[in-house]
Amino acid sequence: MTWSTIPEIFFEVITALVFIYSALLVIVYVLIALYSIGGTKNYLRKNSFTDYRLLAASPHIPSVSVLAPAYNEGKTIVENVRSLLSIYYSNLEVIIINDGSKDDSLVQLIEAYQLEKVDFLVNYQIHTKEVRGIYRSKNPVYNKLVVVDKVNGGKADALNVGINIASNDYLVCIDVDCVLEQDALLKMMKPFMEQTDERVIASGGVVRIANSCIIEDGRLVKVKLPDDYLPRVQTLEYIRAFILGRMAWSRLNGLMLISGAFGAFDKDIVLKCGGYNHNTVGEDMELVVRMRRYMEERKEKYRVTYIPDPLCWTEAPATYTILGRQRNRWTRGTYETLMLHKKMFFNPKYGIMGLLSYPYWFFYELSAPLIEFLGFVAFFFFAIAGLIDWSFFFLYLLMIIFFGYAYSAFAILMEVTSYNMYRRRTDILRLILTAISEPFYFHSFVVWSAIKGFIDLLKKNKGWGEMTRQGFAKKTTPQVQPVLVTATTATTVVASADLPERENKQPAVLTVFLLLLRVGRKYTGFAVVLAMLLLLCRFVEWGLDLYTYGTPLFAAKTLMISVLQDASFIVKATVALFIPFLVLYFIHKKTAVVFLSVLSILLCLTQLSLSEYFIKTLVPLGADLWSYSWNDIRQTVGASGGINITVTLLLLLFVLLSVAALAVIPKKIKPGNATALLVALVYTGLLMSGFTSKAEEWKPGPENSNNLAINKTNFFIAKSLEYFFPMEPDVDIYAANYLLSPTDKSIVKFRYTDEKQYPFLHVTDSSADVFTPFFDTAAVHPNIVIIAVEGLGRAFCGDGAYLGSFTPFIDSLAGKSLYWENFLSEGGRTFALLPSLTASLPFASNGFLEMKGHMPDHLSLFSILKNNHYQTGFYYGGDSRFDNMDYFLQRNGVEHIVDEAAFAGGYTKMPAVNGFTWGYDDKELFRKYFETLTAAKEPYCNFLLTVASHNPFLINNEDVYLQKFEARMNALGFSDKVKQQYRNYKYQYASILFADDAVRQLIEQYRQRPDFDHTVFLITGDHRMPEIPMNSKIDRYHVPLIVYSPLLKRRSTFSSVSTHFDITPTLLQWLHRQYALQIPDTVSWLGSGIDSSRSFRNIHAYPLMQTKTDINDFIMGDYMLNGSDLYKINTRLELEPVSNNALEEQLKAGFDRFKIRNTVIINGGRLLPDSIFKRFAP
Amino acid sequence: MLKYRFLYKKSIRNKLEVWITQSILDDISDEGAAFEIPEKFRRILQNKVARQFVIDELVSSKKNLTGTAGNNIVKLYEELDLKKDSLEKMSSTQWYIKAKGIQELYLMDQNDMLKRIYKNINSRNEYIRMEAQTGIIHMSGFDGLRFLDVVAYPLTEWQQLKLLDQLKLNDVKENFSQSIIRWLTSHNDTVIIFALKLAAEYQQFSVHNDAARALHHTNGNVRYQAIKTLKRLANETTASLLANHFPKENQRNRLLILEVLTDIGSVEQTNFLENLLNVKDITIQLKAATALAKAIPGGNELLYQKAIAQPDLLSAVYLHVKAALKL
Repeated sequence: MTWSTIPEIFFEVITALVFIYSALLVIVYVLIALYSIGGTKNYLRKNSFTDYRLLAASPHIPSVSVLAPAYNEGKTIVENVRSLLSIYYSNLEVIIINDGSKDDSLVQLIEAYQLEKVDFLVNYQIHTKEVRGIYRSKNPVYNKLVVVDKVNGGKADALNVGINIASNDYLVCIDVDCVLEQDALLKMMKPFMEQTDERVIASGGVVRIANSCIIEDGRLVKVKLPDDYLPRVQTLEYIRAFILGRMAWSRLNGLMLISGAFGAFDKDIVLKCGGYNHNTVGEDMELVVRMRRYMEERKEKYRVTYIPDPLCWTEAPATYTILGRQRNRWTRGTYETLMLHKKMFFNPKYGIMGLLSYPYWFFYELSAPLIEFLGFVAFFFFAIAGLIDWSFFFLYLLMIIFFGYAYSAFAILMEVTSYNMYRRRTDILRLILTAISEPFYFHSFVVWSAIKGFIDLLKKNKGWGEMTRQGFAKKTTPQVQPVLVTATTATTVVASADLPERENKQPAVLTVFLLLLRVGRKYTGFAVVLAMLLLLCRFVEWGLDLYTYGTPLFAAKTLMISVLQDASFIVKATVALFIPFLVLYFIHKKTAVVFLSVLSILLCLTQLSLSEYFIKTLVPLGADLWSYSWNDIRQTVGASGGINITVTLLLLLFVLLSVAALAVIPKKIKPGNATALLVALVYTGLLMSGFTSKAEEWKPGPENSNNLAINKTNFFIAKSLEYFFPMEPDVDIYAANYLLSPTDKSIVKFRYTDEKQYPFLHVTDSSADVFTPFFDTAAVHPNIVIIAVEGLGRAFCGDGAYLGSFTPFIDSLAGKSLYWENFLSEGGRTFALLPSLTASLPFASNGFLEMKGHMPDHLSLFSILKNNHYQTGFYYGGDSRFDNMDYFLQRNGVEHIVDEAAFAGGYTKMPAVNGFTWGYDDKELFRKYFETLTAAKEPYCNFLLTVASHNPFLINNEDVYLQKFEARMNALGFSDKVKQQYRNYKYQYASILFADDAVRQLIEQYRQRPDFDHTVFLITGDHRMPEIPMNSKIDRYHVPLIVYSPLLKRRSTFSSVSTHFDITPTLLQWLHRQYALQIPDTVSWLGSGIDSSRSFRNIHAYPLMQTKTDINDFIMGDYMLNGSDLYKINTRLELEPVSNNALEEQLKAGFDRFKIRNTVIINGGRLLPDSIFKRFAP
Repeated sequence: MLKYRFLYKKSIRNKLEVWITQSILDDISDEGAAFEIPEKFRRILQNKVARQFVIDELVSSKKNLTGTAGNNIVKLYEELDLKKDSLEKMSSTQWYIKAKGIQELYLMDQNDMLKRIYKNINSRNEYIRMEAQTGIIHMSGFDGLRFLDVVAYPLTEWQQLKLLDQLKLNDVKENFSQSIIRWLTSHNDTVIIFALKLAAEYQQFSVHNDAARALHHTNGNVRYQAIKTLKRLANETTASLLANHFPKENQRNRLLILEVLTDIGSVEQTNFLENLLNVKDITIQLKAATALAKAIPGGNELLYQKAIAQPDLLSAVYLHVKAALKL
């Protein structure tokens, strides 16, 4: 169980996240596609009213400078420039920026276009690398052409030079190798002419793939689908992105990217924004984002428009190397841009940009490959761990793939119905085939390239780390003096030392390893502090325990095991926290550090709270927390005096200390790679070697010491995980062979009648009646009075109690009664009392009472006796709503439910802590009982539940009972040393003495009454009080059962084991036989009846439920199964660990038989057929 | 469905195209004579898609043809009773259908529809009002410009371009300067800009002073156009007027003034331009130097002397201007 479930939970969480992510992705994509189609339709309609010839001929057309940077384009540059010069546009200059090409580009241009160097005063409005020369043509035909020769500085720098030189109002930035449609600029510039109060700051165009197209004289003559696979699949990709994506963003006015290959800009705004950023490889996107941000921050109305006509054709990468590099660059560019402008992330100040565009880019465009990749890695591990539900996986995979297909098919359809560039039917077919193959090969490659981009980003961590701090607002254009580029400067092409991109030779595995190590180095310091803080928490816990209860048993051993268990937890927590830290660290270092610090402090606070709980209750808190209602918790915590100012201040102090430690110490601890590696190896080694799971098995011996040694947080988390992700018995619950009875002859078996429908229904066994031999028959039906004393454990009650008996009256009564000294409660807390004792009911998932409205129809002692004309009543000093007891009693037709609320004036409540009290003490309860009883008719069956001996053990007249406690210790002959130890629990003992005294008063008062002589008293504990240290797991359930009545013929003491399950079957069978009461002949009791063997034995096979959340204990014969630990129960009801696989299997099988039946009930199964229920129903 | 429609259109095209072309080009001298419409075409033309095809063909031909052919187109349009279709479209609630209807009606010279079309000049939809405004000009020439008195929405640069283009098809109205003067006081800034453009385009010299008043308008774009217009209407006072106005302008308009002075400047502006050579703004410096060198007699020599006197400051400027003007 426990930590082995971590991968499962991790798996569930990952699955859920991936599912949500992909669902959102699908929805977002569909919405965008639809919106985009609508936008394109509108555009086409508007276009039908536009005559671009008008624009071509007009003198009023805006002036445009085309900027085309070129680097080593010698082979094609002359043709490319010719293409640019042939564009239809009257008010145009074409600026070719030779970015320090190492080939003969410039020479070719000079020759082809008869260029000559001219004097030119460059106004460096944007700081750039040096301009070496400006060339213009001697031939007036080429007067539009300006060629700039500059020192190499990258694309952004080249474009910035172009901006500095451009003399027109608008800039059109294009890749020099692009082929533009003749009317491309006319269409591109039209939005600028349509602006009204919204300033159009930029306009983007569609880029299409030109591979295999026929181009003559720089003009696109014929469009063809690329013959090669890579360009073809990119064609599909571009169609999808442009047709089904961009238009939507433009329509929303949220367009963040204008392709660097073709975009138009308002020069004024570009200059105000400082031009292209040469620190990022995503300069095209960055510029648009910055321009938009500029407008948003000045609250000026603006638009970024988009032209869906295919205007620009470009050569797509045809080899994997180049494509990989391109995608790698895109990833880095996107990341850098988003990081530079992270201020806009979900920032309403930036409108659509901040709330939609940016998050979309972040979550989908940037994160999608990363999430996909991580998903694949996780899938790989889950598959190895056998956690994958393959049928679900394949369905899911198919769904995603088919969504992709549908999306591509839709894009192709839209292309055909709108622009229809690929007119041949075979082209469309080939596009569809390409779409089918895409997810399996091309897509994986693209994702991997993006991941490589992320890796490159991490390697250059320092570089962009500084860049991100540069920020937008502070960016200033350095005042650079204008420089005259003279015609006499040498034009030789100088090889530049600045290479734009250098190849990376380090293998990826090594890179990842080094990265992990770097994060690990940072993490080590925090791990040390976390370990220190957790050990400090343990120190506090021990201090409190020593202060409250004195030295525990086997102190040294317990301490050692405590530390080992803590170490185990520290290892697990450190490793577990590393994963989110790692992920966050890559996203944002500071967030990762803050996250880790906050989580560490929370972990310690949890640890301290759980320690406090343990000190108060002596039981480690498990998943109980989750099954109590908020009110229940408030009452319990409030009543136990949980939180006060001192505790709060101490916690605050602890938090301050932790913060200081986390702030200072990690900075001092700076391990090298070797140390970090060693630490990592030690931790993973400990985890893998099974040290952690073994450490949890080590126990000092006595239950209380065992509990003290447990790491409380570890225990709490493990139990909570078990609670939220229960391990169902992995069997078919209806399989008949599993329902077969045990083979052991000594165990009582039921004759089940219809196991499939009513899993617990069996024939009533007359042997359950063990009372008849001991009772005289009264003239009238006897009254039944059941007294359940809160926390009354055998450990301190009755002869031979191992802590010494603190119930002198009850002991004396036992001597006159039928006394079962090895009796067991069914629950470790009060929640199990009523259903087990009065109705022998199964636990369902969190105790039968917790089912409330879902309780199946059932019969109980109350309902059957009521059916036989008994009066029934329940008396309780507390609030009967606690644990839904009132609901259960009402369901069973109990007539008198007397609880706290019924106590009018004249009754004194117990002392309150923090304003909380459980209600009225036992003496007041009994006083109230007699007050009510006078009016009661006979016969009656009354259930009295006390509450004074419950945590916080505050009783009225406390001093008197503290004195009695001292006197009792004297009477028991304790030495001073022993007394000193017992005084640590003096309030607990005093409350028991009080309860005993109350029972004495009750019986004495009863003796005065006429109904006394035909009344049967059953006295038992609801469970053993856990706030006095326990000896073993079974100790928690070990309570006495005393059956006292004037009708008894003889007294007897029994050593055999029975439980609360057995009381109702026995009582009813007895009343049936001796008083001819009507009882059902088939029942669903879990109990077979009390065993009246005088010697020690156990003929039952019963589950026991310690807390509301786990059914973890099972007894069968002389053995008890606690989780996976098997114990032999000795005659003193102590546990001795045994190791016997066959026996263990037998008990597990028995336990499973119960669980299977119980599961049926949990799932809405029934306990009784209507015929029986209706006959005896209240 | 799509395929069916595509094929149907194709078949109609095959059947009708040649006939339409022929009909348009037929020289029907007799005004009263009607087209002969073969029965099978009448049948085909009962279909809406087919009729729209014919309308589209006629519209696109009409845009390119004038004279007899143009008249034939209109005649064919009327005889085939296609006007009914256009009117139906004009009542559509879909903007693009309505705009299309308007376009068809004015292109087919259905002048009786002028009033109905006029009602749409202030339509909320940009394209409907654009077509309506264009239609008004198409049908009533310069008189149609009276819609400028009431137009409520801004006229985009694009629309202005379209209107100017439409006006070119009409004979210039002798004197519409009074109207221009009125529009120059419009509350709609784009109407002022358009009026300024009209003044420049049709050389309405008499509005020079009114255009000059527009230099004091609050909208920079209005002033920008005013400067441009003043260049076209320039008289002996304009250059000084602009030079005096220069300090009050924004950067964009200052640059424009200097460009204008490059064309219309005279000796009177020598000092003004000379002073500008000393400003820190290189763009202004270069433009001023260009104007000085080009417009002012002896300005080039002056610039050269200044560059020698202040080589740090002005030699680069001089060389730049020299290269740019190919002096």
